[in-house]
Amino acid sequence: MADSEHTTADTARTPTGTVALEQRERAAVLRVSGALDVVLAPELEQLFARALRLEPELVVIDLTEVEFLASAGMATLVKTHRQVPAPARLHVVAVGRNTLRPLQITQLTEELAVFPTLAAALAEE
Amino acid sequence: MNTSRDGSRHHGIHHRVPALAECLSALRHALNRWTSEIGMPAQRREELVLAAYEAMANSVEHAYRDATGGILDLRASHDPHGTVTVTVTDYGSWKPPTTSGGIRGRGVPLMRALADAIEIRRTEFGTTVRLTWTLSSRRPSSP
Repeated sequence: MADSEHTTADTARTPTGTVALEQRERAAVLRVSGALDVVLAPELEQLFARALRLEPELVVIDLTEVEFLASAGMATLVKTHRQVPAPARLHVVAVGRNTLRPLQITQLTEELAVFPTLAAALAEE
Repeated sequence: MNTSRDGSRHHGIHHRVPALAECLSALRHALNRWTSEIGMPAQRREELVLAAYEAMANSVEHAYRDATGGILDLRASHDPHGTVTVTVTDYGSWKPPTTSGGIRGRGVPLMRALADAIEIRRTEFGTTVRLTWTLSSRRPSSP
């Protein structure tokens, strides 16, 4: 990965959603917006792989701007959660009916570390 | 599309699309519009759209794995008693997904949790998922 990509956001887009990778001091943040569905989930996985190459202490998948979360997206959350190499951690930001509720229904709130805001997810490392 | 505006009969929509992932968001939006038109409460609408999407995504992923050119039929209707029915039909031969160690497989449990009733019928000719919601009374659209 070239140095010029270090401070710019890498972005993937579908017609209905985007994923943007931002590198912070010790955390890599993957901001997802729109629909995290069958089409966007593989893009999130690819950008997650890129995030891991930055060797962050914390990866945050921020679903604040997500208006639709399908099980394909949830499968990606589980997969990435398991792929983060210890001692690094993965935190998910999810709140409200669009994102937190599907995670609660499938009981993924018990498996994932879910926070209501990006600030809260970044505060705990 | 085939929408009836006669209040005493079944209101319904029907969309037929290729069973491809990129075709599904248009159907999602069509369901959103239709459930709004019939005055379904917001939270139930979201449940319906997500459950229907899960059924459609399953068809896309499992029905036509060894072939291309598969078709997916989405139908939605409601009756004067307040029962809303969504059916998703494919004409493929469903192949069970390989085990994934807990990563995948949430679509069906999600549908069961979101719909009032679910029926999955698989034959050698294809699969139909039927989801129903029973609204206690017809209400005007709520915010």
